Amino acid sequence: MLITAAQQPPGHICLRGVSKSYDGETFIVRDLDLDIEKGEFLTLLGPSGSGKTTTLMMLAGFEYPTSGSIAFDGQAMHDRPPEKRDIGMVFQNYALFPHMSVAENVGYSLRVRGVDKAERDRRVADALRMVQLEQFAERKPAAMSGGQQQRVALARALVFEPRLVLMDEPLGALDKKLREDLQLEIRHIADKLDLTVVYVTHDQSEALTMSDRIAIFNDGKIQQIGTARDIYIRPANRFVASFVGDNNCLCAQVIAIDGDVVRARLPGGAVVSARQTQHARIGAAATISVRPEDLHFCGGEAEGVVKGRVCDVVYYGDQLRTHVELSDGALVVIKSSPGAAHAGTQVGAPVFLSWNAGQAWVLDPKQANQ
Amino acid sequence: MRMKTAQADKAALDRGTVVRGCAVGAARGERMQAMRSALPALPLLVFLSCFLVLPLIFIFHTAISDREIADNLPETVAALQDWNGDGTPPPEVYAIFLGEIGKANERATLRQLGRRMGYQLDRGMNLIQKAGGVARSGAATDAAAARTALTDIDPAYAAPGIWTIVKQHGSPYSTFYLGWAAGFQTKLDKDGRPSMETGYDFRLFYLRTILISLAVTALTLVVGYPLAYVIATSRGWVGGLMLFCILLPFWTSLLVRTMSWIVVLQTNGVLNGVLTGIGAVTEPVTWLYTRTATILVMFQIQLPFTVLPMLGVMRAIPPSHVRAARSLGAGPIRAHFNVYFPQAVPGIAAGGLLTFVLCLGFYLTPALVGGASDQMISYFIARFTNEELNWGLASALSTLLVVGAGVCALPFARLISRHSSERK
Ligand SMILES: Nc1ncnc2c1ncn2[C@@H]1O[C@H](COP(=O)(O)OP(=O)(O)OP(=O)(O)O)[C@@H](O)[C@H]1O
Ligand SMILES: [Mg+2]
Repeated sequence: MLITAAQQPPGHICLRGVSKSYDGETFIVRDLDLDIEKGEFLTLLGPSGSGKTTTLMMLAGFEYPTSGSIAFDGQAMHDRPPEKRDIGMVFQNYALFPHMSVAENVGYSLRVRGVDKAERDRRVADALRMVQLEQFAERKPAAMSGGQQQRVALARALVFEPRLVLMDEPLGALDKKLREDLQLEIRHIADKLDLTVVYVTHDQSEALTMSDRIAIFNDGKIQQIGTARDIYIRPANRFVASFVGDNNCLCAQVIAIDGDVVRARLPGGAVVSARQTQHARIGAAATISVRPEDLHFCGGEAEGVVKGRVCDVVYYGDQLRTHVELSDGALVVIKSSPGAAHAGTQVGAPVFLSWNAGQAWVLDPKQANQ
Repeated sequence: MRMKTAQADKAALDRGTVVRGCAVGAARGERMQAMRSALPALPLLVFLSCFLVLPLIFIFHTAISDREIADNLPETVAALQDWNGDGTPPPEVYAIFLGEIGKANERATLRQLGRRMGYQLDRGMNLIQKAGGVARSGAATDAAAARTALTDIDPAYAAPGIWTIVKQHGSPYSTFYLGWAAGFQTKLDKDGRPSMETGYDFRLFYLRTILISLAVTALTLVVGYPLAYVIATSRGWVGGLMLFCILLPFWTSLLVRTMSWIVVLQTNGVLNGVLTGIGAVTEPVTWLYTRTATILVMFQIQLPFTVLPMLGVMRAIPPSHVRAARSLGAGPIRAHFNVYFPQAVPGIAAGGLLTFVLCLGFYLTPALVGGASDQMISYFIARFTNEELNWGLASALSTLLVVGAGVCALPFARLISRHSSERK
């Protein structure tokens, strides 16, 4: 599995066995292997403290890996200072220089590189046009709104055509509407300029809508990496299943494997079925995961039906969430439209639940990759 | 400032805008609001006005009041109004003068008058005392006799000098002391020409005060800037420890600190011991009572005053700014001077200004570790207040110092406030 630097196709950014510890004892990032394709939009998604920013800082050169290597286009990078890496960076707090005008901010990288004035002005104007801020060139950043400032930061990070763009929760400080607009705008610009982007967020809908691939981080480890669809539909473990979207995870024991379908017994006695993955072994414990929207109410006791009692009904406007306690004590959530047949179900009433075997997955019973 | 608003108001009037009424109402509301929100600061304001503003007013008043001649010789002053300043005044003036000297003698204010005269006239005190003797003897019965008696007892009475001074200082307020403090030649000889006696060179003392203050400020800035930077950017205990070391001297009194410097710097002191011990010098070096010692000790005392305002501003500079500059291709030094330094300028200005202004008023330190040629203006203020009891001059010297410091501070203060409003 280990690829040496010489074998990589050009345009690759390649992290191999990267670990980081600030104090020499606890590792914030552990043995990370990651390849980023040219032109790819990769999102690092994970809970707070999972090491996303630290990974980004090592890519940018503000932190050095305790061990492991980072290479761009086959060149070793991990001991180069940040100014020699040719990386554009967008920070959560924008980090615009308050004493410089918008145009000076955007043109800073070109000034440092000794680009002459005429060429600089032209490229700054182009970059500002790209983010629709040409008329604000002479403003000071403090006189602009948060969204405008973030667009300036974006223009500043892109104007020198870096080979990698890093964004650390760039939209974290903006309100929802603006965030959605800017998500589209960033994605659009990234496509147009064929940028290689590593984007950090802990907002999963942002990750799902923007990325080519998502890397789910927990505890300094990548739990799963893949397209949004892969991760949503086929979570690799319990952590991913419960972190991305809502998920019901049920403990069960595998009793039979029948081609594509696995049969398992829940602690309450009911036998249910789910799709086969490499995790299922006859007689072994397993976790069965079902999305709340894939659970259905049904008429009565039958093969593959689970019995429970309604403990809460929550109205969300466009959907209804029914919390059900199964006979073995496990709690599940069912998402359905408010107009559905069982909409009037009373709290405490007995209900029967079922799902299609194709929409449930057998996962590793472990919590997460350690 | 007030003129500007007045002009603006007038302009608004001229345009006759409808909004004006509402704008004025809103402005008044805002003022009320501002006044109410300042209410908790009232005790401080009362305290300040009692112990800062009132004494300042008193000092300014003392600097321009010049009562002795007006109080003791009002009729002489009036009689001199017709005298054109050539030669000597008519004999009647001598008679009136002698009469008023006699009254001053009875009121026991003759010494004050004599001292005042001595400030401005060669042997002025002596002249007034002699006139007192003449008045006491009662020999002069008419104008001619008064004139003869006075010119006989001292030929200076036959010269225009003393009469010019009396005529010119007949009002209870004058700029005499301010002019003296500003270094103008104020002393006259008996003929009313500038005296040969030059007295103190206050311009030199002011210049020296400013130069020493500038040197100390520059030194604290050069040493304090990197120090504040390290404290502001360090993680963990290093910064805390350094801050503690800087603040430590705050907890001992100024006097104790200065005295401990004397122990270090004296001829058989710690510093010379070390220097001769390591063989750097063969003879002990004279440190104490030199300009070097003055500046060194003032530097040590002022360092925290320069560092703390800088630190406050530097701590507010997000580390991401320098990182951004570096990711954009600037090396660490370039990123620092393009991005960090400009944002630290208000702090540097505030720290430097604070130290400079405080240095202008230093008294104890130069007096204890400096030589005779290192004494700053405060030393002379103290001297005229306590020893020579010339409060008019002491107040004038203080007034010039306060006004000068204010004039220096103003542009910096505006720079600082502009920067801080820009950052928000
Ligand atoms: N300079 C540092 N020194 C010591 N520990 C650090 C340092 N920077 C980060 N850490 C620790 O590393 C861990 C991971 O931090 P990191 O900033 O990478 O998390 P993150 O995934 O970006 O989280 P968030 O979503 O909250 O930004 C945290 O526990 C943090 O306390
Ligand atoms: Mg982070």
